[in-house]
Amino acid sequence: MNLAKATWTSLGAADFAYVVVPHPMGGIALDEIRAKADAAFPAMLEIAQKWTPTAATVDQERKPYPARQFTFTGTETDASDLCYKRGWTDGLPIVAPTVERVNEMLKGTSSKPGDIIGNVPPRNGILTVELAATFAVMAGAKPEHLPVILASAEALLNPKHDLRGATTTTNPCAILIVVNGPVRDELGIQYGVGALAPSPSGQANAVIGRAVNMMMDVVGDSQPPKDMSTLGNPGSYTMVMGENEQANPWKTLAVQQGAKPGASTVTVFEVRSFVNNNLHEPTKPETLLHPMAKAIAPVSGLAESGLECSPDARDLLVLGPEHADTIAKSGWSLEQVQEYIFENSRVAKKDYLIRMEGKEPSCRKDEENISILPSPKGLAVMVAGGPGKHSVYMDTSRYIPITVEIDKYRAKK
Amino acid sequence: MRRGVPVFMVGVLALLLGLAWVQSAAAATAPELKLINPKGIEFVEPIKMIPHAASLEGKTVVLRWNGKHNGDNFLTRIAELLTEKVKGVKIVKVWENDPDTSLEARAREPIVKGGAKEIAKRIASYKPDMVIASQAD
Repeated sequence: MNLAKATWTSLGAADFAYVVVPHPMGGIALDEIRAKADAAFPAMLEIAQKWTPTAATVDQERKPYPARQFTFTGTETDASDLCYKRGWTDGLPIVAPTVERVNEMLKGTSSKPGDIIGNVPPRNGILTVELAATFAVMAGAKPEHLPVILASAEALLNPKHDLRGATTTTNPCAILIVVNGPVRDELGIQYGVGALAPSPSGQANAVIGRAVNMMMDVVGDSQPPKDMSTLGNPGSYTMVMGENEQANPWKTLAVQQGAKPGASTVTVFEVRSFVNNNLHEPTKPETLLHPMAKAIAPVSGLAESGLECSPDARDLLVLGPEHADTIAKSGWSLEQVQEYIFENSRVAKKDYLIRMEGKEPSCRKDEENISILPSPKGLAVMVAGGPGKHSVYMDTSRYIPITVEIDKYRAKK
Repeated sequence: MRRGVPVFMVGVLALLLGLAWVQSAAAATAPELKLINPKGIEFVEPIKMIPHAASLEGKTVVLRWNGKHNGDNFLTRIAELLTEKVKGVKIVKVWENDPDTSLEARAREPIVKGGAKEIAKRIASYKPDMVIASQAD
């Protein structure tokens, strides 16, 4: 209900006529759902015929820049506690966002502090560069990290990505940020051994992701219980990695996404499941990719409520360098990898229809043996990590990944 | 021994005064931080809501399903109840005429050019007096 109210307010309505029907709606028998309709009907009929909106209107209260400032007397720990109590954090201690620190952070970008990156759903909170810098301070970031944070925010707020869907769904979506290009080494973004692990050398990965998650959650007002994710996702604290481009025998993820080769970029995904493929024996592409494809099908196909209808949605396969090498040594191209996974991650329609209780999909109705990918290009492939026979499949909930170049946000030298 | 009591009391008083001084000194030396409120403001374009009709009799009600599980079955039952209880009401289950109106946002965009605004236009083409829509899941 809080989420619904936040949504109609953000869309400009001071109030709305509604009836709340308690969960569950899905996964119950027809007679049960009809009984819920019977129970809700009197209230629905009443508001359908008697509701009058209040005279109140939702007004733009003030300008988005500069942000409100206030004076606080206390220690750094007290300030962190205050931010926690006001719902401005991810639950971990933060660095107090003093005006002085935020101004220092802003030196990391050529963007003006009042520039608007976008409106963050579901609240439609206006995200300015100043606010992004504020969260960068709170997360423990340094000025040189700010351009990556700004580029990530721009990518997430691209309407094609549908952050409103990701922040309001019951799915456990967590933001994954993949970094490509020279910026990885310049900032020390981890892409080798333990690229996604907490690490003494992984500060950039930790603080960039933390800043992005906090700003989206707080400015967008999508913290639980307004974020409706049934269980949530621990990756929502931070999930940032570079691509191990040196170990990638094909096009980098950024180039697959349309970026110029050699550009510093971020690509954002919404990750739902993280499936490790522990494969030590295979020496050929087919024997290596076959079990991966068969693992993907149940995760993204049989455990999913609907088929992918969007042609632009992409899941992500993160190949470990040794697995990538095994495939490339046999002369396989990136396109062959995508085609192989597409062809071998199929689900029989009769199996699909079991969990749908016979209900036809809303798209791709003519496919009898349905790939869980909308097309071969529906699988993004990248290389990351260090030595070992492991690759990870990231089920992205089929949100469309967006790539943004970082350099336009960097401070001019 | 009797002289010891006032001495003891003076000692306690001095201790309390000392504690009070330490506390006030600590408060005076606590740093003053000028902080930024990170919440920001929300973007709104105010819209005007219209009052509902006093009666739905003889009116057109469009039911819009958001594609979530059982929402269609729920709205179908609502349609039956409206037909039964409200004289002359005309019901349009829009998803039966136009299945694209029930697609989820990210699936909808590539299929329905114009996205949500186009869906709203299609619903408006039925000239409804009221739209009842299922939200969430």
